[in-house]
Amino acid sequence: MTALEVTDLRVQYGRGARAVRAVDGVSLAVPSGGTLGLVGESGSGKSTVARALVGLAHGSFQRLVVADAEFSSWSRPAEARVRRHVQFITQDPSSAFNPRSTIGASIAEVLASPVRESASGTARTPAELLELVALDTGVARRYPHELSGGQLQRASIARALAARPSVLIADEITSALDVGVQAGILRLLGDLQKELALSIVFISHNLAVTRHISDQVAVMYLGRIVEAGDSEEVLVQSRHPYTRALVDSVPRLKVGAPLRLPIQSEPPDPRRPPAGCRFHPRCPVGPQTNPERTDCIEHDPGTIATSASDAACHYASQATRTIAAQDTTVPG
Amino acid sequence: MRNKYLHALFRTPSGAVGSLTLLLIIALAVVGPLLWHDAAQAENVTNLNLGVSRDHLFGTDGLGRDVFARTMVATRLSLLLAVGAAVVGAILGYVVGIVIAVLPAQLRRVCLAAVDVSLSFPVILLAIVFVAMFGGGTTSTIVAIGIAFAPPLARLSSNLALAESRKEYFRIARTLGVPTRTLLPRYLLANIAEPLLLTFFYAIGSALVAVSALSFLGIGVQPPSYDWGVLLVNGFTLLYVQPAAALGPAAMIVVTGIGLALVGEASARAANPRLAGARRRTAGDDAQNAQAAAEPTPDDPTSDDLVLDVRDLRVAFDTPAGEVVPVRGIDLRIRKGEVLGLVGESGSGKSMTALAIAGLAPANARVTTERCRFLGHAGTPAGLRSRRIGQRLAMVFQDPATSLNPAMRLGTQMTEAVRAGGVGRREAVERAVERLTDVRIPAPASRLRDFANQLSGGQRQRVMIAMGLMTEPALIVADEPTTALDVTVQAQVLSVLRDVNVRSGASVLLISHDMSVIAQMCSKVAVMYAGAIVEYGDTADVVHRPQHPYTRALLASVITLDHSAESEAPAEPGGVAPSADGRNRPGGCSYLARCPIASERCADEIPPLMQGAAGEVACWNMADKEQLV
Ligand SMILES: Nc1ncnc2c1ncn2[C@@H]1O[C@H](COP(=O)(O)OP(=O)(O)O)[C@@H](O)[C@H]1O
Ligand code: SF4
Ligand code: SF4
Ligand SMILES: [Mg+2]
Repeated sequence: MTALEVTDLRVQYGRGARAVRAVDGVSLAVPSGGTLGLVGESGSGKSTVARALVGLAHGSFQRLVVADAEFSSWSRPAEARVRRHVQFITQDPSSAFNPRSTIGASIAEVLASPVRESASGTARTPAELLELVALDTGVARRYPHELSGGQLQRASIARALAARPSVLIADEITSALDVGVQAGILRLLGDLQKELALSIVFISHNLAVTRHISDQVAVMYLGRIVEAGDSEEVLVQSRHPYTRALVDSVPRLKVGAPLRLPIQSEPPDPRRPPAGCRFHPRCPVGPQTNPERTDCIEHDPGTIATSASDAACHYASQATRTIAAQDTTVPG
Repeated sequence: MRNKYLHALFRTPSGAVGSLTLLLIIALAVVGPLLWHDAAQAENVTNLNLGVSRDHLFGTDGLGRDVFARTMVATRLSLLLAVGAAVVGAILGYVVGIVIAVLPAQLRRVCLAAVDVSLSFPVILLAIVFVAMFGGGTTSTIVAIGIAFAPPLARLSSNLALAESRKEYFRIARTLGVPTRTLLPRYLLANIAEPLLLTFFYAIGSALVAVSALSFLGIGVQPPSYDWGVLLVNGFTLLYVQPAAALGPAAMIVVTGIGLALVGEASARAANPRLAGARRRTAGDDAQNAQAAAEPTPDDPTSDDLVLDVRDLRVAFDTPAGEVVPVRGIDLRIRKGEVLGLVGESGSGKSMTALAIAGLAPANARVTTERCRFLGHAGTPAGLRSRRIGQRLAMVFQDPATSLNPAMRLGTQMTEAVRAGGVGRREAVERAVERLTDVRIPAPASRLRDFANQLSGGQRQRVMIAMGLMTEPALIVADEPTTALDVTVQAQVLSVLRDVNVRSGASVLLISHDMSVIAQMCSKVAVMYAGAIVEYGDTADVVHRPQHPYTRALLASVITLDHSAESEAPAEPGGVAPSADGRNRPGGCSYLARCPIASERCADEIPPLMQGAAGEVACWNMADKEQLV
């Protein structure tokens, strides 16, 4: 069964000269009962993909499959299908709850909503849901501002589960949390996935966490997927220079390890993406360092589907080796 | 529920004063006509236009009637008119406004434009027009003023409703399938009720003024009925002879208006569960700081290479709920050129420590130290900050979006401090360009004319560092400088910080919750827990051979790229940390509730920072050398 699949998703913000193609032809498939990690710098379009998939941003696509039902455009039935099967959790749980409702009331509203009536299986109570996410049932009587960030994030997972989704889209849900709390939430997500056979889209800029939780990983750059494949493959034997640079930028928990600086510049203006390969002005093995690689400027290596296990780079096969040789480190 | 509401209303002094005032006015409105009716009607040709006396507090009018009695009697009509007009205005305005907000976008725009056009006429002018249309009198005054008030209330409520419906939780509730009949009352109305209530009370106040004004103009209340406005116009003719006859009713209008405003504000606060439960901080005691700052502070030749030497730093706040102590007596020594890391979970007091040593703690914080020396100068942190020497401590904050002044050009911001110190304009600009080059900002000279919003997050953070470098700092305090940044940009900012440290010899206090950042940047590290330092030592020792159970838990929960997913499930420290206000704080070790190796002694005695196998550790059962290998 296909839990969630989209082909050629496009989202544009604004019009004319100020238009940003925040998502520019993304195709992804969430492995059934597994986790697809989506990584990339901020502004690369990760959140927009998530929001478009649940209808919070207006996107277009060629094909959308939700729990085996296929749609060719955004329509009422498509929307209903998404509402029924896909749930979304955001980074900032404090802005995700109605400040005037208790946690219990917010969860009860979802349980009572008419969309759920068609759902199969037995309904849970707010208390059961809170227990499921390892929260005290007394939390039901509290207001959002009375909870810590970690508790609130658990509560928002509980509320999402109240809708009994088959797909959970988690956008940076641990980014605002302490490492200890983060570890707890990740473990919870893993347990819930096994117990409820959830398919998960896990969006994060934290590569370590993503590797830890994902079966497959897709790397986004300026609205496109530039590399995809099995988690280990992508994050350990990265083929795309951008993935490699991301991985190398992550500080290691190793005292005295040199500080690495694989990319010197910041992401370009998304309103005017560079010609050819969008990464070429920052690419450590592109035309900036290898002037003979003119195809990087002239030919767009395009975007790839998450099912492809590939990298959108003209020199993908050689990238890893070359970068290792050219690695820029800061003396220290 | 109502009791809670009333309680909240009376909790603040302004709420209590406002409520009492209004209660008094309402009481007057009820009993006024009963008590003073006869006195108000009694004409006395011998007592025309008398001044203030014991018998006639506000004097008498042209027919010899007692103005005080008439003012009291007029309370009822004035109040009824004002409330009536406000109710009409609010019902019309709020309904129209909220309906507009939920209309489809195009229709909404047309309606809002119409509302905006009507807004361009002054309210009182509209009211006059409507009164003219309906004819004078009490009811038409109410309706006219109500209609005139509707457009601003409609605009306000549609703005509020629109803003609310764009909020994250509202949209998420939609994706969760919460039906509109729940969304409108519970999500929209409930969340804008507070400002609506507030404006309703203000509207009563403004309606009172408007009613009085219409009566004053002779087109509102018609004699023989009278409200404060009618009394005002009667008294006005004798303003220079007998001012009390006008000032009396005027004072009633003002007092009622103020009472309404106070109650409006207080009830808005009471209606909000967040504000009603919130603790308010009261002003702290700065006397100690001021006193210490005044002490003479000779240079201390003995302070060899210590840039900063702080002993027993405490930061406390007094709140109605009791004392809150985010920092509970910590020592910090930073040597020249050293990069000291301060690590710990959120709420452990890292930022408050940074602010306190930089002399930037909030005004109501009580900051005390047993000893505080910066570059050999002694004083309080705030005292040192205000002196010349204070400029040699630079601060970099977490949020690059808010730490630069958005309204000022970068050049002006960067040169401000040194120019105040007597450096010439040209030299200051040259230095700014140099510093921007140091932090690898491209085209620095032209950047000086830019504003903060023209920079990316990473650039802002580097500009902050450059700004700190303008005064040749001996110490840079960086509070989570890369937490809001991407890894690629984080690497850039960290390498700039490292660069500055190596080249200028400035010491760095680097605060982070990320052990990996600390491991790569710092030579020494202090681990903070619940306001105290629980472990301090060489970074290699702390990271690879942690001795305190909290440090071990912290390290175990770090997820790194090399940390293979299956091999080792990261551990979450159980329980919750004691909060700064003393809740959940055990008598002994503050880590007790979460500690897996606690013994009896831990409950009774607070472990001080003691010499461990390597570095210093605050734990009775610290891991010893054998365990460490
Ligand atoms: N509401 C919006 N209006 C205009 N542009 C937006 C909006 N939201 C996001 N963008 C732009 O879309 C692009 C992708 O953003 P986003 O999806 O938030 O990326 P990510 O989640 O990877 O950080 C960025 O260039 C961002 O500035
Ligand atoms: S195509 Fe060229 S510029 Fe783009 S990532 Fe590959 S090597 Fe770099
Ligand atoms: S002193 Fe006791 S409770 Fe505190 S950390 Fe050490 S062993 Fe645990
Ligand atoms: Mg995002």
